[in-house]
Amino acid sequence: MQLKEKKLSVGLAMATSALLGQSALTLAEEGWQADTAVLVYSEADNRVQAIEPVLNLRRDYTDESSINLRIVYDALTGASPNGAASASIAQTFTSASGAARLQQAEDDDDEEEIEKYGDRASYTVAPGDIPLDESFEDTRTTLSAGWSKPLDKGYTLNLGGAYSTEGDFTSYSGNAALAKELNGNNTTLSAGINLEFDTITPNGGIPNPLTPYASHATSGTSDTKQVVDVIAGITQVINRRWLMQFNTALSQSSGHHDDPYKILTVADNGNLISDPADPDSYLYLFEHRPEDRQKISLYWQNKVAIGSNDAVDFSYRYMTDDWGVNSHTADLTYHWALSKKLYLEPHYRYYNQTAADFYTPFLSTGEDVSISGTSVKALVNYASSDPRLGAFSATTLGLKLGVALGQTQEVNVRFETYQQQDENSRVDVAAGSHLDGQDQFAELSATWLQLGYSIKW
Amino acid sequence: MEYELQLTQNKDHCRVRFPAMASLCEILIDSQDTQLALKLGHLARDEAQRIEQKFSRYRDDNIVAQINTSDGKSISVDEEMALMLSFATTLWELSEGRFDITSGVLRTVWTFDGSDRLPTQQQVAEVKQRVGWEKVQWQAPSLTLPAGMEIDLGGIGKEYAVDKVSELLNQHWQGSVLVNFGGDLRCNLARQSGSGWHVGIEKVHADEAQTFIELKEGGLATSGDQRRFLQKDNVRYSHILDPRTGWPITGAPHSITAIAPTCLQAGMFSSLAMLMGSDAESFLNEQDVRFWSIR
Repeated sequence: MQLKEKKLSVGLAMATSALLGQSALTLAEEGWQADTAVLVYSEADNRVQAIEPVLNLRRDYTDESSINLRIVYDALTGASPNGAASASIAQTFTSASGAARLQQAEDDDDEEEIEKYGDRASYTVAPGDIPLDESFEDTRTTLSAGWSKPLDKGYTLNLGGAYSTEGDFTSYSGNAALAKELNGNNTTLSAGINLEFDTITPNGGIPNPLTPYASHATSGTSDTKQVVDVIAGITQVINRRWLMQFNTALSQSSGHHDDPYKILTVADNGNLISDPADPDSYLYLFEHRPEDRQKISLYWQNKVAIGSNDAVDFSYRYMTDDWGVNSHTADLTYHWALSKKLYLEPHYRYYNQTAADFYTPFLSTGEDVSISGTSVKALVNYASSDPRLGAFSATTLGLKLGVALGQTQEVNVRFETYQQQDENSRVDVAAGSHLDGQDQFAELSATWLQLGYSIKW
Repeated sequence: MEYELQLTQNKDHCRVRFPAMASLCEILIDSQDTQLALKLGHLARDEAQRIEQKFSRYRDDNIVAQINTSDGKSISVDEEMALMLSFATTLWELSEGRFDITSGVLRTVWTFDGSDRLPTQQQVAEVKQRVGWEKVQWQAPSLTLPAGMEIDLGGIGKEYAVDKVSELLNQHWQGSVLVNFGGDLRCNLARQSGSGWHVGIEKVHADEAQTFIELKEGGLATSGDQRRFLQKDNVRYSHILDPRTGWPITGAPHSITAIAPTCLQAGMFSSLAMLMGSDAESFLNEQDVRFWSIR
């Protein structure tokens, strides 16, 4: 967010456009801009680490149209919760990604790889630890392109598309939006739509939902999901210093939502029980989420110029869906121009969400699951222990420093920390049982550092 | 000039010339079609003459004459004049008083005929009483000029006409047209070939090489003292007067040519730069304006 210091040029441009009765005549320069950055992300407790380089290229044309190309590459490693509950006894799991890689290595007869993944195909979690699948390793590439073109009578058209691929997941999306300027460019109305089509091809196939983990019964190798988002908004210049935006969005997602690698512990009065079909393993069931998800969100943002060169950006979002998740996000950033070449941006964000209706840290026999002989039957329609569907609040604190190098380049560095807090109601368990006294939610904390470089030509 | 309109068809463009605003006005059209050129030429001439008729201070039958003979009474103006006056007010504010449409009366004591006859301090002080936009009451649509004061839109009128004509022609034809009113230019878009129009920058000395630039889109205007100045004791007094003092700017370049998205902006930048005197170039650099300066 760079504020114009050239008050005279801007004042003159605005006065001229008022006199000529035209839309803004500010210097629509023709040129390229490249922004690159590398993000290093790290979660506490040896969870996920990621490196993410990004390249964004933008070309502006004198007719005020522009194109934008973006490439993001993510390399993630580390450990991710598998959904089982932490217990006072050791638990052993097979890693789907580890097993897949081991299988691949064996097929390739690659000794080095066999050794690498040999003991990652299964892993054991110590008592009291959150079960984390350690061999989580994935790379993801995302390509997106956008085109913006001003049309007659104050309309602007935006069209775009994106493609993303990672080991077991591919996503295609397309979007279109139309904006209209009114009131001498003080008001902008906009409406847009985004269509997304995702395919998931999990390692080991699509597990049958709410069936035992040890048996790993599957149906098919891949499944899909479609998402339609529509958004409408209004941006209003309140006065010379204050810009406000309000928008509302509706999202409808249909298809496969289950996370194929996430399971839930089945407990009998708080104790882990054996899987009737495989007595060497404990009983866990694959999770299941509804096939439809509808979300509504309301968003309000303010940008206010402070003093001659500073600015504050404050926004609030409320989101509610038919899975029972309601969330609030408040975000505050202050752009502090220390000098013509240097700025600092402190950042604070507060997030809070309620749990999904079918969120539960584990399943209990009798209420959620019924077992008779070797037959295991879920009594609930949906269940997931994915912490991202639980109730929690989170605080982000960050600081960004930017340095201008000459007129056309900028280098910046951003550091942020994120801390979650469990807001779930505790599920009572029998005293002395395996789950007694154990954490029921894995609070995530993470830090990240991003180095960026921009250049215009 | 005795003719009313002159059409010339060249190898890859047409040119229409007509007299207006005491200058040679021409439009260059990126087409071979003479009917089109004639149509656009008429539109351009009519609009240029309309604007001249309305805003010239040399006439006695227009709104400017009414204002300049109002003798302190309030005058109600139409929307176009109101926009013009609001623009002048904003420029006066942004330039911290250097650009002032009431400064025209200073010419009664300053005659820039190349001689060494400067006015006296007394003469300047007297006429300066009748200069200053702060003395004017302007609240659209009502303007009240104290008796003895006058407005002169000469500093804005030609550039305004160039931009209005350019935009009018663009509504009638989407091809490339260069509007040139005595050296103040505006081009709406690049020619079909992708290149721009070749424009020569005014030279100060006849034996200088001609600088050409290619104008694809935007406005170009020049402010200078080339033809009107006074010289005494080896000091050149340009015809550009500082309304705040009543005296000419010293240390200004011979001329400044500026490029900006519109002719109005280019004209304002070049005029304001001249008003900055010896700081002309650094002012334009700070504003990130593309310009040529001749000292």
